[in-house]
Amino acid sequence: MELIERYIYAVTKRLPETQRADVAKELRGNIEDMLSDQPTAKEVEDVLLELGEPSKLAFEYRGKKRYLIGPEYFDQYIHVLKLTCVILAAIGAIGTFIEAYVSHVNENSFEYMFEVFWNIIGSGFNGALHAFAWVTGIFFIFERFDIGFDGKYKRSEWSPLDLPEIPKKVSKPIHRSEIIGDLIGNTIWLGFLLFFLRKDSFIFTIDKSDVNSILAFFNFDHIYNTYFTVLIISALFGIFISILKWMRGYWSYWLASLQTGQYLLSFLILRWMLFDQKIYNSVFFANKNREELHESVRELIKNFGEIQQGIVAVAAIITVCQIVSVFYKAYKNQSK
Amino acid sequence: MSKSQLDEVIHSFLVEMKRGTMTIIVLTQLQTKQYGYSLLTVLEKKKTGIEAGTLYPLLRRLEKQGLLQSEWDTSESRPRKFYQLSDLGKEVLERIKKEWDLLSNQMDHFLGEVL
Repeated sequence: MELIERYIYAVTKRLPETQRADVAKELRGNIEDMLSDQPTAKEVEDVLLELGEPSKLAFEYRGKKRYLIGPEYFDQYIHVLKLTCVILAAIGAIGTFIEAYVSHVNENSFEYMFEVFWNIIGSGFNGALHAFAWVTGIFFIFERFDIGFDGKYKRSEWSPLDLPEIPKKVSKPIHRSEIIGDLIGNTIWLGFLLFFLRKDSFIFTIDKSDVNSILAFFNFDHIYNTYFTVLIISALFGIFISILKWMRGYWSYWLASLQTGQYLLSFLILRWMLFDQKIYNSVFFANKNREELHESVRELIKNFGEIQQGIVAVAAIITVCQIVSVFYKAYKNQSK
Repeated sequence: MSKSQLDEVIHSFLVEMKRGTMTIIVLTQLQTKQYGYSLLTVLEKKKTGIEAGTLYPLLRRLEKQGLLQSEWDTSESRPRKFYQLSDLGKEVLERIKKEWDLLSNQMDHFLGEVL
């Protein structure tokens, strides 16, 4: 009986969600009708063999006839296509971003940022397009020449015993939109760090007539020299985890652990940077009593120690909440 | 051409031919209501060579096209989905019967030329 459920699962998971329950109910009834009252394992196997390979049956249910990629490869095709599109789009976008960053460090106009933004979207799209062309081409060759994935001609006969296990019911799936949100958030955050913490942002003009009295709040050279690599690594780590989440689809303990690692890393980097006195412009602090500074800026400097503590405390609370949340989701899924 | 190659050519012809006729056969057998397996046994008895893996999805597709209507019968120990021709299905079948007569005459004529 368990084999029947595995078979039904293997068929219905390939169908649109709205049809699954109904097809499963009908298929279960049909299979039971085809069996005797006390079926032997052999009988079950024979009936499933008669119904044929799940991917083919699912293809019949979907009812699409004309194809470039046939039923045998279609599921793998879609799977590989999605994954490759996401990866190549990400590589394209990140590559353009880094290239723009490294080659034009001193450009900082809004026009330039806008241009880079479009370039990033463009090369992301380009990457996805490449993925589509290559994956489709390769699967088309598989289809035409009937090559199996092990490289042998003609795939071996299908057997019910090949049916995959039914995965545990997942109560807390990771939605694709959440992952895409993560990726976008990551990119924007990185963009914010690298573009806005520049020599000419966060600058306070003390006296407009005197160029020498312009003060920058951050010590930019130090930020670049010390944190550039770490920030890039942290962002790439985040993207790597997003890909894992995409493939898995739900929270497991090891995924939660990896995610925890990323949260902790982000927190540590923030804490490290915040308390690194070298990232602030020492001249700025030396001038804290200057009357030309706007009052709010003077307040900021006066209470800077408390502000630092406050930021770290809030970040710590958020990090703990995030970690508890992912482990709770993993626990929910694992305990089912 | 070797025998196996010959068989293959004939086989692909038959597949093409049966693809269309199978749907018509199924429609003719659904003037009274049937559930998946009962219809399968009827078709097997009449030696149509239709397989379970083809029949079950076909029923759903014909329903989606509006040619069949279905209802779940849950009064028995196991729930069964019964299919029957819809009004549209009856009309379509009637028209197809006429078209088939034409086609059949035509084919008799052509095949009659084969010596």
